[in-house]
Amino acid sequence: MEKFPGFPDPFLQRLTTLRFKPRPGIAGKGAGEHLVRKGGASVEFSDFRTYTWGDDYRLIDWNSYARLDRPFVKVYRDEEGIVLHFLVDCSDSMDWGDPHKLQYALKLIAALGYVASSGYNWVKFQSIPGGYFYPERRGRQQIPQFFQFLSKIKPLGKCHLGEELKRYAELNPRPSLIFLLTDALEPTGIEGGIRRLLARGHQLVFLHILAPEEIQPQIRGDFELEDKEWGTRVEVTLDEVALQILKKTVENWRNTLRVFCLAHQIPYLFVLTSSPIEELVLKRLPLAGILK
Amino acid sequence: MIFLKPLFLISLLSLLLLLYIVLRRPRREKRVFSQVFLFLRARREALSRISRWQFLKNSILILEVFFLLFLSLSASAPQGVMPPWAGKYCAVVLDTSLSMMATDVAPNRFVVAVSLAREKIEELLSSGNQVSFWELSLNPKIIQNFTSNAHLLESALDKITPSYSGTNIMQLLDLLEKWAAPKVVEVYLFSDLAFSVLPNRFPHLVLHQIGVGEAVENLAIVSANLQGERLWLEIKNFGNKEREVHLKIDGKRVENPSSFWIENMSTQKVALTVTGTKPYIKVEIEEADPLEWDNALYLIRPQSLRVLLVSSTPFIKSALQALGMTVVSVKPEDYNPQISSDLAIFEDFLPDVLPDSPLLIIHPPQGNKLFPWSGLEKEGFPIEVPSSLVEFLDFSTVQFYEVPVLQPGAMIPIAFWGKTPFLFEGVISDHRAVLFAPSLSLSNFPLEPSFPVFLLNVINYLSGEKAGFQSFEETRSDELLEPVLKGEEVLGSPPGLYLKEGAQGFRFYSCAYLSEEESNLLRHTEIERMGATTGSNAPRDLMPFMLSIPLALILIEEILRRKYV
Repeated sequence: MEKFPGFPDPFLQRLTTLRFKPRPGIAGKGAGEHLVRKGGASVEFSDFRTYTWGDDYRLIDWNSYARLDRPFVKVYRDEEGIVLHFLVDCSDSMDWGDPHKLQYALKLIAALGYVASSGYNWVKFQSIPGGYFYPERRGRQQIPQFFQFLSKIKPLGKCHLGEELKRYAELNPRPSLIFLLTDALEPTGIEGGIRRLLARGHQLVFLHILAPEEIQPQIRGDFELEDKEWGTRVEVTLDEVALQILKKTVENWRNTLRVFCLAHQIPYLFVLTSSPIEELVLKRLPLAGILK
Repeated sequence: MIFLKPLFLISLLSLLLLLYIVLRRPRREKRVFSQVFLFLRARREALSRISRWQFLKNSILILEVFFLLFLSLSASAPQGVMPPWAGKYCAVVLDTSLSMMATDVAPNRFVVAVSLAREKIEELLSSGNQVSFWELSLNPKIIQNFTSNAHLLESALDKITPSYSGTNIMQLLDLLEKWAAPKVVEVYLFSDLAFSVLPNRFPHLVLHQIGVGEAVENLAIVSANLQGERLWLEIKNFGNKEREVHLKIDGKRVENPSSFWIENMSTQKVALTVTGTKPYIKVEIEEADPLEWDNALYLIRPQSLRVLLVSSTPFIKSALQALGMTVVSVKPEDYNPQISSDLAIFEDFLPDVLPDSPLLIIHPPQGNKLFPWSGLEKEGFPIEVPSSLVEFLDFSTVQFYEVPVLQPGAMIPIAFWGKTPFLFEGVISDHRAVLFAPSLSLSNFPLEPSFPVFLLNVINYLSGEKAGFQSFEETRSDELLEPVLKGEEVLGSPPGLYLKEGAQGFRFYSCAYLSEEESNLLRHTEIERMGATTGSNAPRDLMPFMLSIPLALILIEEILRRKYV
């Protein structure tokens, strides 16, 4: 049996070259590779400020002193590690599809976690609904442990995704970079939960994961469909006309989500489980400005 | 049976075909899907897009729709689905009694009635009405149910024959009322008689009486009253010309007045003095007319009663004297059970030993053993129950200050003060008895006009056995009571002597004919309307049709959902 996540070595090596590219504003933690606005010890010049008693003489910019006859000190930006929250929808609706949606999401998190750990960032995992939790950890030495954790995750039943996101926002006030991986198949919508996360100052990346069968079912005929998560039943007769209407409906629904994300400056990536993870991580995420 | 209509059979075949198709159809495969809410959205979208003709492509749907349509049409009358039906339900009633065959006019009234009924039916059908055809006889019956088919009604008219019997209009109207409800039916009655029916007794009937034939000569005794030796008669001339009238009493011509004239369509009241001791007298109009039923009358001679009154108030004594009774008035302290009387009245007094006669007990005193008091009721208003004693009395202005609550034993309450009975009738010591609970001194009843009438009714009732009449209990619910002289057939079967009740509770004894209606007393040119006044469309029984509408909608929706989503 292949060991999770089963990435080939070349791909892993490519991952080590990638770095996250968060927008300014999120809280850092510990030393890392991401420049922050506050003063620090990096080589990245930030600003001048007037010399005050106690400042290191070595920081005085003598050229400025020569021109202005007043001592100024050079201020440099700090470099910190960032905390990445991976929120994964582990409801029963994700336990479906070929390739499997939840497994695909977990492999994607493994890849992103690998990237994060390579860049001295913190990784945190939380399943929705609650049930699996991986605390903030950093460093490449914890990657095997993280992969092992991910490999044991199973679907957790039904949940209201919007409500769970609101609860998560209440419990995690520190602004972080959140990767939300879900199929968003929630009849009551998830927009409320996302708004609550944004209100807390989090930066969100919305990875909308669907199986190809969900946007274009290949089945034809009379069926009694049962909702995987909620058990709701509906009798349908799927012919070309009906499938066209269904396709249009799914498209409208996706567009609604996309427009919502655009309006709230949330990177939205629609991911089909049939697309290779390598392509997603190495091409689409950098193109979306999430990785560099 | 309505469900054996061809329309229903067609719909039944559709149903069987439908059932076959439904049973043989492939079952749906169950599949688990990650979500169904997008399917539900798509279904809503699909339903909003469906073209109105798209469903016609579906053969099962067409069959289902046709089935429901046929079922609806067969279960409900077509009139129900054609909203503005302006027609009415009509019943044409033809009198087939013996009087219709009378030969004083030619052609006889039956032939004329059939001809008139035929014209009326044609007229009613041409207005889009539903017409039924009935026979009025001693046993009225329906000949043809409501229909708009002229041939059926013609056939019914052709088949009808005289019954050579009397008429029973009340039974006919009862039948019609039951048949009509809840519809309103216009009744066209073709008869030589005119019937008077109490208003609102038949709320679903609108009665039109159409007179047939004409009585050329008809004198009739329309009412009579015998009080002591005074006889009052009311004689009416229904003929076309003035008539001279000679009266005979017990077969002898009356000398004073020897004769008098009555103009046509006029009434003459006559007062006569009659003597003798026969229990009844016969009054007749000499050489009146061929319709002899209303020419003679038998009257019961009222008995002269000796009334024992034990009272300390003047009310009852005054009333009894006004009624011409022989009153033996005794004060309570002087009462002796040996005093002989035809009946006894006790007021505010009840002896331990009761006399051997019928009793009227008014306000038995507190502490008496026969009707012990169990309380006093001070609030209420009189409520009557059907009884010959109070049937025509107006209690609306009568007030009682208080009514003792009595334990009446076997006496039956017949009138109530609120919930407390205040008037009872029954039997004490094999004699009839009436018990009146309130005190006359604490009431305005003795001053009311209804008091002497009430007293007279009670005395009549109490003396009923003595006079040899049938019990009122058995006969009072009938409009015309049983012949009181049993075994004495006066004018063949079933005529006899009848006890009648008039207004204000006075009774008189009359009738030597089959019935007042059959006597041809009244002319029949007027058209009388009674009962419900509405002529609007009666509602049809649309329940099956109305039920089928939601059923059809559900079915159509289900099919559309199943087939196009």
